[in-house]
Amino acid sequence: MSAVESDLRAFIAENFMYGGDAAALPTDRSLIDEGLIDSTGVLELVSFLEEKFGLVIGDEEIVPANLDSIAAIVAFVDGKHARVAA
Amino acid sequence: MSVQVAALAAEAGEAHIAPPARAALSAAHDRLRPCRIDDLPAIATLFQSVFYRAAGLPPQSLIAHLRDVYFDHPWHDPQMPSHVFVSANGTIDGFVGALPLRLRFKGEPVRASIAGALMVRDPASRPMAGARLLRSFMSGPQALSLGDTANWTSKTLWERIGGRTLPLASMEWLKIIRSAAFGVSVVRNRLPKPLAALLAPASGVAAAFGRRRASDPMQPWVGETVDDAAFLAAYNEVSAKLDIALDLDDAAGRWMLDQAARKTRHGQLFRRVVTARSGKLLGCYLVYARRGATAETLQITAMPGQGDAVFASLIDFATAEGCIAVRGRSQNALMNALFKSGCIMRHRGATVADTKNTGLMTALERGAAPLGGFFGETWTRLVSDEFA
Repeated sequence: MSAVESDLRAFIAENFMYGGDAAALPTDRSLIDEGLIDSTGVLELVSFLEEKFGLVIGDEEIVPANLDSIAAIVAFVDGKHARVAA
Repeated sequence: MSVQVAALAAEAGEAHIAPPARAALSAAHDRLRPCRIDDLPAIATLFQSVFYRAAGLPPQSLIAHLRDVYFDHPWHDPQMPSHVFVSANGTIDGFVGALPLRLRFKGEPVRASIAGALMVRDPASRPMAGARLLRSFMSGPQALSLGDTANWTSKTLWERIGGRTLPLASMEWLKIIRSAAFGVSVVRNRLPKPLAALLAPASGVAAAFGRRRASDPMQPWVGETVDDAAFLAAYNEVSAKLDIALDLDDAAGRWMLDQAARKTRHGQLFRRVVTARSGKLLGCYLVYARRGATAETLQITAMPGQGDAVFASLIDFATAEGCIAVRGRSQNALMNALFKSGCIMRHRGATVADTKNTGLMTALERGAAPLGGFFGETWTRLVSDEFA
């Protein structure tokens, strides 16, 4: 498990699962369909990603393709970091 | 706005697509963009669907009013536009309105914007649309973002982006004048229209039996109904004494008063000025009043230390007009009067604010501004009026 995924799971457990176990959450499971995040939770997630990983997330990037599962979020964060490093 | 993100029934043809598939399908091409005048019919349709649960073509009066407030406002600022959320198929499925506002904080001008009419069609299938719309609004060039009719979802969205809820300005006061008639009206409002009509005679009887005294000629203040010019002159004289006030020029003031007067649901709009018997200005207020109904206070602005007198004048006026109760947005300057007069306090739409100016935020949080009214969007017909 990458550091990004580990931090992300900890954030989800604390903020959206009320301290529940996020380790068992499949990486490709939809966070929206699971009822873990809604429109307000999305903003909390975006703020976390910006602060924790030093990202600037544009409005057009706030879409389910980037933010609706652990796998999508990790890929999104890694992709942003890769583009900054390039 | 009311600031609301409301659900709509799924549109015909969408039901066979499971929500996650639909979300993934559309999200790739969903986009936000500044609102254009030619979007207004679609926005009116959306507004009618979200807030009135009504299908079909929207009335022209609604389209015209949207144009008035979002494009023809004298303070319209193209750098602070309203935004639409456009789904992949090209339909407008979300909107956030931006009303311009010019304030002065301790004499310095503040460029502000009020979020209004935040709405998303079928938010379950567009779970990120409301968040994106509000984020786009709050990332505008304004120094202060305000909302004064936020429901729980909108309030939470604001707070997640960094905004703060102003508790005092999120409360509504209610002063009951004729308790029997007010009780009947509460029951009527909870009944279907045909049944409610049966209670109309009871309202009249209750109001007649509950009639209170007329204005006391010995009161140390005098309230007077005035025209736009006199009201604006009084408003600006009072505002000059306040830390936070509207920077209300004559053209904008007259335009906003005219717009507010077009709202009919709560009765006629009265522009009132309150002076001491010596002629010294104490304050002014705007109130909708109609005999037998609850008066709706749009704005109260009082000279420092004169909130009690201005509030007493308001209640006296509403009593003389035959209103059964008066209500309005709470503010620091009125708290003493509200408690003394036995007002009922309750939460109504939340007032939320966001600014990087810490001095301004502190002043807002301690209730230095008479929020609501022209500081928000309740003067527009979009809040609680009906369109035909």
